Amino acid sequence: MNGQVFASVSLAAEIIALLIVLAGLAQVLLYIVQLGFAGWALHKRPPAMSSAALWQRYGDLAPPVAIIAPSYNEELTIVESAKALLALHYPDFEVIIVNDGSRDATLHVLVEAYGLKPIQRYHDLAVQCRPIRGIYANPGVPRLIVVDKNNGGKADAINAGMNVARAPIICVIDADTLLEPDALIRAVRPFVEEPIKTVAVGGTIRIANGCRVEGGRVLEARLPRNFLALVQTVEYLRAFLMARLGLTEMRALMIISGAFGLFRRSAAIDVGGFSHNTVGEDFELVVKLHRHMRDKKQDYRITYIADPVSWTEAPETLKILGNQRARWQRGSLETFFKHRDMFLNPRYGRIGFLGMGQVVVFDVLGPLIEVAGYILVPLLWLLGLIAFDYVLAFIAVIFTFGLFLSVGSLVLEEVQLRRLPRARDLAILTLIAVVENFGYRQINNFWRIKGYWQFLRKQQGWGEMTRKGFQRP
Amino acid sequence: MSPLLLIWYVSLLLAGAALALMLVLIALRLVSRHREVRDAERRRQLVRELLRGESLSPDHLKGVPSTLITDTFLDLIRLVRGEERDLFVEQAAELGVAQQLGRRARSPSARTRLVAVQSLAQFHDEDSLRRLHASLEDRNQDVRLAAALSLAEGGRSDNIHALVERLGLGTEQDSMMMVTLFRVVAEDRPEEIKALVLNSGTNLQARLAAVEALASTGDYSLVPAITELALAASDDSEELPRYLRALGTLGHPAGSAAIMDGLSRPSMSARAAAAGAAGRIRLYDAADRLAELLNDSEWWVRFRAAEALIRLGKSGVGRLREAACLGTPVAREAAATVLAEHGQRL
Repeated sequence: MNGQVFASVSLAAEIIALLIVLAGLAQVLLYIVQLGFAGWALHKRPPAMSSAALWQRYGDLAPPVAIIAPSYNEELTIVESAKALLALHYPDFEVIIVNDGSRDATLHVLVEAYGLKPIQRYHDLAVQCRPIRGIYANPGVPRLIVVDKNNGGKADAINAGMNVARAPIICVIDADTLLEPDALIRAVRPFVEEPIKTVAVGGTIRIANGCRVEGGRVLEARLPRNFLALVQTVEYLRAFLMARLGLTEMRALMIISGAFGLFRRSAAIDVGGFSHNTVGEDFELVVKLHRHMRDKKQDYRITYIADPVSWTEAPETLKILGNQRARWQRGSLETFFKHRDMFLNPRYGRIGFLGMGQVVVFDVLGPLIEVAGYILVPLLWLLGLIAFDYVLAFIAVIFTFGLFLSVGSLVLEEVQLRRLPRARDLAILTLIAVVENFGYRQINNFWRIKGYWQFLRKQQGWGEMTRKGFQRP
Repeated sequence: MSPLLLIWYVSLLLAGAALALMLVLIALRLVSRHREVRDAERRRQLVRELLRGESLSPDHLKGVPSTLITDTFLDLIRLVRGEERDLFVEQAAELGVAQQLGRRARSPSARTRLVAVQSLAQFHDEDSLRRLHASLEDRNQDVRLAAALSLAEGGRSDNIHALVERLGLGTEQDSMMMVTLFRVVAEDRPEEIKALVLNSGTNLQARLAAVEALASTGDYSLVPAITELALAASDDSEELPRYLRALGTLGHPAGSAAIMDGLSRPSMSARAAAAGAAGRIRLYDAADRLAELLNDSEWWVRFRAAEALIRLGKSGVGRLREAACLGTPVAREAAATVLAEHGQRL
C-alpha cells in the first residue's frame, strides 16, 4: 500500500518537475530563436553611416519631430538635459518639456535659465490629460517649449506634450535620457524609408553609470563600477540586442521603451495616447497600436533599430532596482490582462500568437514557474521523489542556457556592433554574464513575484526613484 | 542517454562554446587594438597632408592599407564642397579609390555594396559608371535604388520610366528616397518626371513622389495637371491631401479650383491640406470659407485655417478678429489664440 502511495507521489513529483523543465526549455528555445533572428537582422541591417552622410542623405526628407520630455522634480538636472536636447543634430525639431506639477523648482529653473515667458499656443485636446496651467517659451530659443500642468503621472504628461506638439512624429523620452547628437536622424530612418507603414520606432538604451558625461552628453563610454549597474548593462544588451531586434525581425515587437521611442503622432492619438491606468504605459501603447492597425487591416511596421543610442541612469541600490523591476512586472501583467483577448486570437495573427505568446511565456508564467522550480526541484530530489537528472535539466535551463544566451548577446554585440571600447570591458561583461545567474537572477525573480502580488492587490503608483545625477568628468 | 541528460549536455556544450568564442573575440580585440592605434595615426597624418593640399603619390602611400586611403578620402569628400571637393575626387581617382569602391560594390555583404555604390556617385570614369549600371541589377533593392541615385547625381541616369519598372519604385519600394531620385533627375530632365505624373499607367506612389519632386522645383507647368488630379481624387484617398500640399508648395493661383474644392471635402486631411495651401497661395477668395473652418470639428483644420487667415494679411486678420469676438466658442478660441501667437491684437 505504502509502495503504491510512494509510486503515485513519485509520479506526481516527476510530472511537476517535468513541467517546470519544459516551461524553462520553452523560454530557452524562444530566446535562442530571438538570438538567431537578431543575428540575421544585424547582418542585413543598412550600413552605419557617419552623421555627415546621414545628413546628406536624409536632411531634406527627415520629417519634423517633437521631442516630449516629461519631468517631475528634476530641478537638479533639467537645465542640463534641456541644453543637450536643444543641441541635437536634426533638421527640424522642437523640444517640449512637460513639468508634471513638480513640487520642487523644476519650472522656475527652466524659466530662469532660458528667459521663458508665458505664451499662448493653440493646441489640440485629442488625448486625455490633466489641465495645462501654462505654456512658456522664448522667441530667442525657438525650439524650446515648456508646458506646466497639474500632476497626473508620466503617461498624463506625455499626453499633454502630444496635445501641444504639432510635428507628425513625436519622440518620447525620460527627462534624464541622454540622446546621442545624431540619435534622431538615425532613429527616423524607418519613417523615411517606409513612410506609409511605419508607426513606431524604438532605439537602443544603454547604461550611463560610470560614463564620462558633460553638458548632457556622454563623452566617453565606460562601464559602471557598481555591481548592480554592471548586471543591468548585460541585461540591457540582452533585452535590446537579442529580444527587441529578434522580435522586430519576426515582426512581433511588443514594446518600445518610454525612455526613447518615436511614434507617428496621428497613430498614437488614434489609440488614445498613453493610458493612465497602468504603470506599463509604453508596453500598453505598442499593444494598442498593434490592435488598432490589425483591426483596421492596415499594413504597418513597429520597429526597433540598433543604431540610435540613448543613455540612462540605472538604479544602483537593491531597493530602487527592486521597485523598478516589480513595477515592470506589474505593468506587463496589467497590459497582458487588459488585452488578453488578443492572445491566440487569429484576428491578430502573429501578434496574437507570437507576440502575446512570448509575453505569456516570459512575463505571465516565467517568474512563477522559475520560483516554483527553485523550491520544488531540489526539495523533491532530496525527498527521493525525482531522479538527479531532473535537477541537472533544471540547472541547464536556468543557469547554463542562461549563461549561453547572455554571452551569445555579447558575442553578437562584439561581432556586429563593436561598441564596447576596450577588451577589458568585454572581459568584465563576460564575467558578469556568468555571475548574474547565481544570486542576481534569483533576487530578480523575487522582485517579479512582488510585482505579481502588487498586480493582484491592484496597487498603483511608481515607487521611489532617486537620481544621483550623472558622473562629472 | 535520457532526454533530461541530453538537455544538460547540450546546455554545457552551448555555454562552453559561447564562452570559448568570447575568449577568442577578447584576444582578437587585444591584437587588433595595436593595429587600430597605428591606423588611426596614419589616418590623422593622411588627413593633415591632404588638408595642406599636398599631392600624394602612390609611392608616398606605400604600406598604407588601400581601405584606409579609400575611407579617408570618402570622409573628406563628404565634408567639403566646390573646388576643394573636385581636387579630392581627382586625387582619389588617381590613387585608385574608384577601383577599390568598384571591388567593394561586388562584396557579398549588402551593407558594403550599398556604401560603395553611394560613394561611387563622386566618380565619373567609365568603369565606375559601368559598375553603377551593373548595380541596378543588384539582388538587394536598397543597393539598386542607391545605384540609381548615384547615376542620377552624375547626370547619367537611365530613362526614369524604365527605372520605375526595374526598381519596383512605388510598388516594391516606397522609400522617400524616391522623391530625392526624381528631384535629382528633374534637374536635368524635368519632362521625364512630368510624364510620370501625366501617364495614367504610372503607379500611385511613384506618381505622388513625382508630384512632390516637381513641386519642390517650382515648375508651374504641371499645376493644371495636378489640379485635375486633385479634383478627380476621391474624398478619403491618400493622394488628395498630397496633391493639395503640392499645389500649396508650388504656390501658383492656377491651383485655386482644387484648393477651393478641397476646403469643402469631407476628409479632415484634405480640408487641413487645402487650408494650408490656401494660405501659402494667399487665396483671398477662400477667406470666407477659411473663416467658416475656424468652427470645424477637427483641431488640425481649425489650426490650418487660422494660420492661413494670418497669411492672407489684413483681410484674414480681420476675419480672425471677428471670429474671436463673435464666433462660436470653438472658433473664438482658435482665432484668439492664433492671433495672440502671432502677436496680433484682438
